[in-house]
Amino acid sequence: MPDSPSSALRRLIEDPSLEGAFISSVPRPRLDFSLHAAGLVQGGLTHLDGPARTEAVLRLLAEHPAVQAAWVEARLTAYPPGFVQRGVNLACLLFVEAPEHFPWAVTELVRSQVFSVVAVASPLPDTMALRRLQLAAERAACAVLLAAPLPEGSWPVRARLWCGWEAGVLKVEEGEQAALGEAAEG
Amino acid sequence: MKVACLYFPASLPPETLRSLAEACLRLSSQVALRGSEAVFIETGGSRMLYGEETLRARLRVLGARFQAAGLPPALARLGWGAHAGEALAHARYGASGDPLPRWPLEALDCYASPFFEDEEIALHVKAMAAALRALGLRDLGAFMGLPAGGWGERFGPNAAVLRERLEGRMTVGWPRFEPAPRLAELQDLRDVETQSAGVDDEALRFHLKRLCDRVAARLRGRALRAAGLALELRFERVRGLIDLAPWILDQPLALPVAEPAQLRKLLQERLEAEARRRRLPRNLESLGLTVTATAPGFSPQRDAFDRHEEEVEARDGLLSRLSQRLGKERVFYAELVPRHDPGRAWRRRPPLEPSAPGGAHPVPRPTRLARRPLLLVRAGEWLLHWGAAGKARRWRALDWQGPERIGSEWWLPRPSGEGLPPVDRDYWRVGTAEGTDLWVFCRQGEEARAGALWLQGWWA
Repeated sequence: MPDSPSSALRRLIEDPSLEGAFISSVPRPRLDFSLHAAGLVQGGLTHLDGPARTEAVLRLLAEHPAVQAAWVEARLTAYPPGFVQRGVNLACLLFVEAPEHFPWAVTELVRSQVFSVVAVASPLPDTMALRRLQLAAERAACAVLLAAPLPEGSWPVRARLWCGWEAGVLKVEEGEQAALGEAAEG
Repeated sequence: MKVACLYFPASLPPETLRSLAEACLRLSSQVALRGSEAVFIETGGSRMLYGEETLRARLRVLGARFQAAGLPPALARLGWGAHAGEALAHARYGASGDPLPRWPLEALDCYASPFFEDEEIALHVKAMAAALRALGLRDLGAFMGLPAGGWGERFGPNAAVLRERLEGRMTVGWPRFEPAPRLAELQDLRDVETQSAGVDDEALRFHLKRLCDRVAARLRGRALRAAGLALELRFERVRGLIDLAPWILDQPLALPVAEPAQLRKLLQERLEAEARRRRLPRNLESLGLTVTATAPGFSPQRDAFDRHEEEVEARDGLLSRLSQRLGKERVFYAELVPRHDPGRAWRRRPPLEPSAPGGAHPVPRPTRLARRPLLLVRAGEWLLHWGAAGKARRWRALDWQGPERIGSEWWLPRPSGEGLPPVDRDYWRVGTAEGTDLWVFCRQGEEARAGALWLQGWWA
């Protein structure tokens, strides 16, 4: 029975005769985030889950008030007065409401290289849209935060974080599948 | 004074040369034309801005950009001189390292009339060249080698004037150049050899790029940005069939744009949107691009100190594309408004409008707000919302904080079209077992007594 691709790759990596043949990938730059010591990857998709995912996005934006960011949603539910209370600089946050052409709008925002952070607050339709977004994020070195449910088979997502409250304190932890994303990054 | 001359031995169409001269205005405000064969640019006043090599490269790129498609790009010749005549002679007859150039005597025509082709002057110069050749002179070096005195008596007044011009003492006044009033460019899509129409998608993009490059170069020459565009699609003429009216696709821009790449993206979007709506009835014969509205604005100097200018240009182009497809009101920055009504406590600020700082509300507000309040049903400790298609959502309420009473703003005029006066509301922050806090209100009066609750927003 043939090996699965991952086990075949692992065997090749562990083969002593091939030592030095594999070059470890250059780590991607990361955006500092006080709630997640490793930071958020720039040039990849990060999924934020849990009851406080919007709060986590806003905390990140508040920690980087000069960073150009975009908030894109199919039907706008973002409430800017609440954003300001959390320290977000509204002058650096572009809102885009895209009831139609939502995947296109997200990809254009990321591809433009104008924004360092793009928060996606509505679900994307399929894995193809996610893959396209991942490629655009890699090329633009943009931190794409998916603060909405993911479609089936969301393998392009690089990291998954769970955001919630513990005794009134906002917590961000790695989700179950986050380790898989890190392993794929090498 | 130092003059550059861009000379096209195979003449260009006059309107093309005018467009090129217009684009050259970015380099110097003193530009002149010679018929359909040369553009003069006075660069002495800006010699500290451009090195000769830089200017040479820029002019070559501009020259290639305005040549017709399908022609080899290096047809333009570049000449330099202390004045227009010398620059034209240099461009026409090539460089020479000698102090007294070995250009033929016909080069005197360049000095006699650098800006106009005058048949009478050309005849005079030709006769003089023949006379000088009969005396054994072969080139301008020999011409200038003759003793300086008594030129008028020996060769006539014209020769004396030419001698003065060669020595740079009697310069010619520059004619005024005025750009065309309408900024429009046309791109012929027909095959150069067969003159047949019909281009594929990839070729169309290539032609569109050329068109945008030329329009952007002219905009830059005028120190303007495009605020509106019109793309004209002309269809091929078929014998036996009635000519079709061209399609004109108007493209108003949310933000003025000057970069060719941004113009191309915008027009490509517009073409793709049109292609989704209707099919082309025939092959395309030509594309025309007209700037219908402009806004003042210098093109940014790229990478002067950082990438800021490039980023601003990319941002403006992006905002225009998004506004075009999604609608202007859907691409915006937010600005706080000092109102108590939660739905009116902020407004959508267009990207070009300057921002006004607003203070944060003293009472905690949720991060998300429903587009319109959702009716909740309270069943014991549960809150239920019946959505579309009978789908229900429920939360187990654990903790009620409040109320915060938000009254009607009676001192403000009510906008027309608003029906009943707003009712005072009592807001509650409801902690739930699901982890999401809800922002719930009940209205004063009859509704409150009936126990109706509304979901206004939530902390997520």
